[in-house]
Amino acid sequence: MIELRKQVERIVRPLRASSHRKNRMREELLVHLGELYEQERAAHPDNESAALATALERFGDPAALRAELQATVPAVERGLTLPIPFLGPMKRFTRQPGETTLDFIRRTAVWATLINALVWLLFVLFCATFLRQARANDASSGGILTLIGVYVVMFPLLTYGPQLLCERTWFEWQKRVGAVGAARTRAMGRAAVFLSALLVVYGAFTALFLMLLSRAITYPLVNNFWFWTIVLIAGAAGLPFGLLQIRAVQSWERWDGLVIDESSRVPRAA
Amino acid sequence: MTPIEGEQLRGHLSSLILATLEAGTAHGWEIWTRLEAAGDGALRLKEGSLYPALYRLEQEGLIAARWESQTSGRRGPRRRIYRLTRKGRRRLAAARGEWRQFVSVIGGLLGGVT
Repeated sequence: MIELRKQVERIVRPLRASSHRKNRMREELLVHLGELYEQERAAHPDNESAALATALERFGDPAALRAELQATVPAVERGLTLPIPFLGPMKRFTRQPGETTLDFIRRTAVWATLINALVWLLFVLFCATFLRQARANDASSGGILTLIGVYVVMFPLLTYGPQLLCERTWFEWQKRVGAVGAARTRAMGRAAVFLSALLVVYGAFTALFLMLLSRAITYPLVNNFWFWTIVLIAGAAGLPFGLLQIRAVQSWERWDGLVIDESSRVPRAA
Repeated sequence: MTPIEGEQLRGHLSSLILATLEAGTAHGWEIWTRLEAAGDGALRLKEGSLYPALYRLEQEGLIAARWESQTSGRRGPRRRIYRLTRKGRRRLAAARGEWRQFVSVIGGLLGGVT
């Protein structure tokens, strides 16, 4: 029940603790709250809201529980999870609760592209000012500029595209739960296709980067054995990264994406 | 029965948890139901407060925990199963001794309790 998860999130989200510890707390508190709610449902079969309010009341005030839980987090861990003031603006680049994946991608891709383009322009100006006379006939400056330019254009696609693929993989994998027969096979097949596409994206990005790099440093790389080895390794290395991303999507769906009011008030029992 | 609540209960919560786990392994909800049954409805504690106490006991090595390997045919989040450690048993025995001494001394002073 989403209200129970929201209550757990009100308690756990503001804690200064590792995400591993927070996820453990979330799971445990949710199990207890779920049992509590079922008990109250049995006592109030005709009044779901009264059952919910009583269950939340019995569980305790979120602010008080949060303070008790925070005291159990080791000091070192609390210190490591202190908010860093100058990283505050970076929060704009993280996904906000309630934000859809597409909205998040659209928003962050625009910002990321603008910032990258600015860096690229500064680099162009630097090259034009300081390197023009010294390296007038050198093709490498142009190659590097092309490399960075292509990176700027590809950045949103290569950074956020995998996120979409991860989300699709997770959703399809989720669909298999409860599905039977052909529907289950279809869902698992689709999840496998999205995961494979994710690996291809990682491999393709590495290949493109290496090809552009080889042009910049004028080295014939494409027919090189090591080129394909690196591309294949990059694709395979994308697997654990992709799985981590899928796990992040899972956590987002269950916890971090929940829109909660930050107040700790518990609704009054009817 | 007069309810036992607040700091009066909180001060003994750790020992009570250790005592419930002496009967066998249990997850959080089960520990709570054992406490409630043993307390005959007199224990008044916000149930969420059980978990900070469990985490403290685990950090002290008095109890150990593991995730339930499967969800026993039910859907939903996994349960974490707690068990008493050897150190926890020693602590429980010490707590019982302290409690008996407390009841004996204070009971003697107040009178009526032997």
